[in-house]
Amino acid sequence: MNRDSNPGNQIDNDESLIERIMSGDKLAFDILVPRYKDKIFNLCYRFSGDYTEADDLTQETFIKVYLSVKHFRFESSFSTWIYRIAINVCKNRINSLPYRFKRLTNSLSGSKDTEREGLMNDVADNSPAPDCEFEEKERKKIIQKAINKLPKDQMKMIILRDIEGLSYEEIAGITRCNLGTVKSKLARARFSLKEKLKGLIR
Amino acid sequence: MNCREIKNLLSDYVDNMLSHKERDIVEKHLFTCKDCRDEYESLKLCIDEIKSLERVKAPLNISEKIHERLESRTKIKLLIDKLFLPFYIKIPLEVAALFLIALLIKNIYKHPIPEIQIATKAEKIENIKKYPKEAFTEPENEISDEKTGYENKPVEVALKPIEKEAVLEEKMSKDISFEKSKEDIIEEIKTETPEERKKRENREFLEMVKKNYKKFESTAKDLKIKADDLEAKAKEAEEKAKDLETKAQKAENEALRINAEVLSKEADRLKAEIKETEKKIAEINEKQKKEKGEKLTLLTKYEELEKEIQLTENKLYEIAGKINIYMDK
Repeated sequence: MNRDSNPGNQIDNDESLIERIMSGDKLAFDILVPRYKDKIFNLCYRFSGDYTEADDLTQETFIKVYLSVKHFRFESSFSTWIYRIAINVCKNRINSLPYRFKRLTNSLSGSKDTEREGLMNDVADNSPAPDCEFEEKERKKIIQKAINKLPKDQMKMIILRDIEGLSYEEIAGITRCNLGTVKSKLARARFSLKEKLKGLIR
Repeated sequence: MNCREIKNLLSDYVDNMLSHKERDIVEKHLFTCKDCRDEYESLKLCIDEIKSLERVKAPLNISEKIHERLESRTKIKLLIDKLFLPFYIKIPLEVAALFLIALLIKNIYKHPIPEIQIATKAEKIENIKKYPKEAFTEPENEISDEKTGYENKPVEVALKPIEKEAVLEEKMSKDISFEKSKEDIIEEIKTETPEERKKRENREFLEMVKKNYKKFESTAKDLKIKADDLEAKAKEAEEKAKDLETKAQKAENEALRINAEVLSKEADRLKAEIKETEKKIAEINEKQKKEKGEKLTLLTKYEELEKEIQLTENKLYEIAGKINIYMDK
């Protein structure tokens, strides 16, 4: 083989790894996966609110990356591209019938009220109690639920900005919006999330 | 700006994404308007709350799971590739097959007419031969003659006019090379004796049989040549297919070998690295040991020196004592 014999020694930036994957080097993909798996997993987890679902979504994202790497045009950075794929995978899953059915049955077995009321009741019941009595876990569960109740567009903004901590420019690249749209969408998302968490935050 | 416009800017204000001018306006407003200040506080708290959510980590075996899923996909794809040849092989093969079938069909239906013609002619002759038998019941030897193939035995039967007509017609249709006019033939038939007639008929029949035989022979040859051609083509196609198969096999082997090579190289490199680090560790250990030894020797030396100092000190004291004694004296 005339390929460089010691792939570990060269500086592996994402773009050179992509080029290697394109030329059929499977080892490069193995370097790329550990680099992004936690980021993507966290994103999928916040999107779905479910650990096993996030596992599956992450796998699907990386498989998509591997299969469609030949379509990568180097116009954006790889991280923008993989985030875009992950969000698409998550959105498609959330829209799929089996997933919606699962969520519906979960919410029905969880509380007999409708989803929205159930959440508000959760918050309302807990709000009079002093802060110290809050189980930290419960608190986080409620926040996660509130995020997942948001419309998908708003949820995407909250996750990318406040959870993944990406810059406005990066978000604009991932969502293919201009900066102004990102700003207004994020403001709206934060506002509606704040309204949902009113009882929790005081 | 009114409160509503300010509230729209709060999100950007939290992220420090406002221009200088806008920020000044918002800050001045927040200083004076309690409602907006509360709004800002709760928004800030909400964002902090979201940011406080812990980052979850992917399960450790996720890479393997991805690989498993990818491999199962590629396996299915390989199977499909094997079952269905690619178009650039499949379509030419199909076209060739179609062409061969067309040729075959054409060859089968090419020479059906001679057979039928021969059959009808033979029937006609037989009918004419049988006709006198039915009219005048002949002795048994006559029938046996017929069976043995029209040998040159005299047949003492006078032809009826209808028979003559039939024979004439038969002649006309049977042989194109027969270049005599109708009148001539009639004349001939009229003048010739039954014996002669028999002979002539036999001769004609033999000629016809010969001709047909030749025709058959040539068509048979044609067919044979064509069959050989087809066979050769089929063989060629088979060889080509085999060739492609072996090539595919080779390519696969090559890919596997390359993969193995890359892996083994990687392994070698890692092994070498491990060895190097092991060596380094050993060196460091040795150094540490040496240092320890040096320390020990230094310590012992130090102790010895201390003892000497003690001794000299004692001596000094002694001398000092002695001096004191002398002084006293």
